[in-house]
Amino acid sequence: MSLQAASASTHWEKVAESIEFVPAEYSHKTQPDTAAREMLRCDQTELDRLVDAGLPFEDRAGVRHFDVNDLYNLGMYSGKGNTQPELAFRMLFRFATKSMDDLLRDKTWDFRVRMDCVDCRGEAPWRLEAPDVERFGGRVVVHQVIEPSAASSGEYSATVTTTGARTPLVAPRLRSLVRDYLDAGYRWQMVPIAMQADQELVHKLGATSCIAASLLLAQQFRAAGYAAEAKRGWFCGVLGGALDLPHACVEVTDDDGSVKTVDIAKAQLAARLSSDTGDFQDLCQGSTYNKVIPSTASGNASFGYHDCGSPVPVQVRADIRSTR
Amino acid sequence: MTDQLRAVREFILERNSTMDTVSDDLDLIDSRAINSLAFVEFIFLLEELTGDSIDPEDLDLDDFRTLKAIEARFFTQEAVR
Repeated sequence: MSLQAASASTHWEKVAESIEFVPAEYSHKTQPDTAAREMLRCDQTELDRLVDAGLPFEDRAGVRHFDVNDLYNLGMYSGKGNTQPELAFRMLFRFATKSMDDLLRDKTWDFRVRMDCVDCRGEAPWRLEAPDVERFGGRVVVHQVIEPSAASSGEYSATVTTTGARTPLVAPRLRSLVRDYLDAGYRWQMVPIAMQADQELVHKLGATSCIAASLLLAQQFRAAGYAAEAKRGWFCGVLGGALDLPHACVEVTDDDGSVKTVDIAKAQLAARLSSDTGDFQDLCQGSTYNKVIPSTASGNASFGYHDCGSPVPVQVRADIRSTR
Repeated sequence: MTDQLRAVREFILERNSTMDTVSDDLDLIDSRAINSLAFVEFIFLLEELTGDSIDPEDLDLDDFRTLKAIEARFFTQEAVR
């Protein structure tokens, strides 16, 4: 089938109907027509059809602009096979179909974080929610910390070693809550981080995401009498940092006294991408694996702060590379 | 220029209608000739051209920064091990 024929046969209206667009209060329409067509590998007529089907946009100087999350989700669920989001996730989750032993061994990362205070009001301490891997058998050797300064940017660097362990949940109640969540049929979507903190809204829409799922599950674990907290971290190996994929999971103290991590949204995403990811999905339900660097940040918090009084959140960019 | 590098150059030009040429030393990342999402397509192209799988975990952006770097990393005899 030619590309043109394939494009014409894409049922964009059905795709648009199947996803939840980002509500206006959380939407940032920054992607112009040209970027949308490139992401979705579609032509102008198809983009017009998507707009007619409800894809929100803003017209600025005669050019339509779209929210990148909406475009991501349309691409992911298009079924075309050649949209940029489909290609990105296919490549990103290749590891989930391989041997899990590789995810359980020690792995070392060059870890760098740059923080920018874009509306800096002056000298003040920086605070970074740093890698917090020791609790799960990892190690951190810090090379550079961020000193208090008037500079509007700062850098932190470290060598971080992560490791994995098969520690599935043992408490029947916790396992049952995880199963109930998976069976609820929430659909994984890219969701703006600010919206993910509003987990009730995300789930009400029938959607899920790493942070929203972790916040809800942590709440349910606590309601069942378990110490649990949603925590953020970094998902490593994301195309040299080219793809910003927020990571969060639930840390819960199980009946055996151990702290387990539950990364339920990643399990759902893996299941959507490929049916032969069962081992990885199991690993997400209590075990730890070496592609995640946990941090000290709670589930819906920022990774970094500059206490200068600026109301604008600090921008945090991580560059995490596997050591060669 | 090898056919492989020619294909890489064509890929970049196709996605940047305002560019006429791509010099060997142009920083493809900083100049945004390859943006973050096109980067994924680009990796698939390199896999197709080399016949080898690229592990996204092992990516070093510096290997993709210029045509010269891409040639050295992916298309030289030393690279094809």
